[in-house]
Amino acid sequence: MTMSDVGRLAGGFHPSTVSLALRNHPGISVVTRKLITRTASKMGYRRDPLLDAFNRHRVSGLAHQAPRVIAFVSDFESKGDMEASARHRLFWKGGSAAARTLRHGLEFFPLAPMGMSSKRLDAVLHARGIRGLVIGALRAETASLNFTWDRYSTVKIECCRLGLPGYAVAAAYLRGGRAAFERMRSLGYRRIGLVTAKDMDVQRSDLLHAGILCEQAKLSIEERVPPLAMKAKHPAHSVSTWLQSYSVDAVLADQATFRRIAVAVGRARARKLGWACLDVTEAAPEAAGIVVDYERMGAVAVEQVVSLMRVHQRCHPSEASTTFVSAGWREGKTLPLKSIL
Amino acid sequence: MNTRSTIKDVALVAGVHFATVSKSLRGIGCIPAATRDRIRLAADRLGYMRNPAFHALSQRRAHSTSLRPPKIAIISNRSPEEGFFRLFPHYRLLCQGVQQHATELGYDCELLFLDQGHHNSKTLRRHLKRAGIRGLILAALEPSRRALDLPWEEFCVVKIDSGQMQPAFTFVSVDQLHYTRLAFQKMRALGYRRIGLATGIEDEKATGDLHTAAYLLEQAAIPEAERVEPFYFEVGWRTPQARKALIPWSRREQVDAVISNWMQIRQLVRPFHIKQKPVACATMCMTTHVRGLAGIVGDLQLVGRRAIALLAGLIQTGQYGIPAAASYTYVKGIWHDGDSAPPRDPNVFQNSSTRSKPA
Repeated sequence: MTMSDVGRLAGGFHPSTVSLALRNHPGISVVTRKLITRTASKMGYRRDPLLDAFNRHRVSGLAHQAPRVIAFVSDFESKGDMEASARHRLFWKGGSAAARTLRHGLEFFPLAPMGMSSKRLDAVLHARGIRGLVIGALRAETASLNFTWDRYSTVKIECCRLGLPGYAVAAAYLRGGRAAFERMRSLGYRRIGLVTAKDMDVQRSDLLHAGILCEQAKLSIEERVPPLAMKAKHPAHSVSTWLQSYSVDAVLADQATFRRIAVAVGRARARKLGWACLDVTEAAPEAAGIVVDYERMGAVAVEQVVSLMRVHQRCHPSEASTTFVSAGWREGKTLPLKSIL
Repeated sequence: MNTRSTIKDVALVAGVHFATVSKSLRGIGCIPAATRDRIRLAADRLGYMRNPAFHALSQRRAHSTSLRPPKIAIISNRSPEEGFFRLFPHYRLLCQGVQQHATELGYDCELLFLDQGHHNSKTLRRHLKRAGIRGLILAALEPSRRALDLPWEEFCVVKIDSGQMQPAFTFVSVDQLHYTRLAFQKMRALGYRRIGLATGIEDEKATGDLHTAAYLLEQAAIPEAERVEPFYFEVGWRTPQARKALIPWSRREQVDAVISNWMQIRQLVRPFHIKQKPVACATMCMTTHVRGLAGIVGDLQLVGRRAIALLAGLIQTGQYGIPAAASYTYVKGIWHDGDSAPPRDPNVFQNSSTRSKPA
């Protein structure tokens, strides 16, 4: 039984129409798609997904066939600007590699250049016929993104706060934060405080905070240090007050934030503090801390976009599902074994 | 342009027939060790890599007798006789989700049980081999029941629930963290001020303390005077024991509402009042909306759909075995208002707030 048979029985459709309809292609009218799917299932004709995958693979390898492009959208001025951020560079690297394996292309589209707006970019993507979108960790400054969402299969990396539609990919900071806290305890630190910054992704700081609360619930009340939320212009004395009043002996903070702590309280004092970095890729090579596999996050995002594109699944409820990529741990000089006095 | 090297290139360099290369790299047939090494070396030098799409296809053909659609299996260690469908409506919805989306993606789907009177690991393995099944969804395996042991490197695996159970495969579940946060925030918005969490110790073990983590996070955001210690049901408690322990806790903590991932929470809190007011409750484990019950309805069909979509991805890119670092996918739920948590009387609310203010 072939697609020609299905086409004939459904009322005289060309096999390529049948093929498109069975792939739920939006180019075929809904009525025709339904008619053909129904006929096919009545006849017992089924697509073979593995043969499909192989054919796609074969065809996309042909010289005349341009690879299908997935857009990697982020709020930078240019590609160089994006690659200056270690995190985004790794998202890009992992995403591009995954796209290559799946015979797609990943192309960067900056949101921030002069004269660019999300509305304009939306028009550009539409004109280019781009159907797959990875929204790559927008920064705190970007408050909203107005795309015609039902045109795209979308996966976003972090930036859940915007409530954009599409599946999300994030780092497993709940488990990661808990593991880090446990490790710091086992190294002898007793009063461990989380320091978050204003520009940190909300979901990320929430997960870290939740993880640390879970660990602290096991401890006596004196050992529970409440987190410090650093404001954009945080008064230096309030950082020292926080360190002093909870006798903090180690902090969990990202590199920029830890630098600000050092500025606020002085280098000598900061050096006495144990420090676990929240993402060691951006940090000095000797920092201990949580290792986030940003490349894997980029790859997972692209894999999910491709699988959504395959079934032409365009618009889905806001944040219906989030995939967390495991976070690891690295030992380092900033967190030496604490001698117990 | 396609510049990937093929086994024919490898064959040319190694000076053998390409069929020999194929056999040698797959470790089958009878090929001298020296030839095998030479082929391996040539393949490495040329950067030959197995084409995952073709491999998936040829594996299917090699393992099945006809050209029926490729099959995947859902495996549970609770059989229908043990109430798989009857006692656990969420399994039914999960399976529906998997089956629906599997058909859309072109896979056939078989439900297999690992239980008394059904399969054990050995017979299951034989069955999977005979049926040519390489993709598995482990649906809610219960750690206390029959264990599953398979040569994992031969399978693509996605696991639903029991995320803490080893080995760690690609994992899909409802989002207990989001459920708890959403339920807490909704109850606050309805006017409740002393909201307690009641959950099972076992549930926390199975989810990695997700309810507690979310609850503590929400508690940290409210005034200290309104924070309530969470309550944990011990392992194996039935309704009377649970109620007996719950009453003193809710008196001590002066709760006005309880959120729980137990369906029986309404029966547990119904008989008692704190400060002459009935204790409100919301549940976080509805599979469909129960009339009169406030709480969260999980999208279990979407959990099933996500599981099969992830599995199809693994199969088509040839990711067999236990992953180096598993990913965890969580699916959110939807809040429904209900009589069990009516909006709190605004008058009482006002009175209490004016009373606390000095005149």
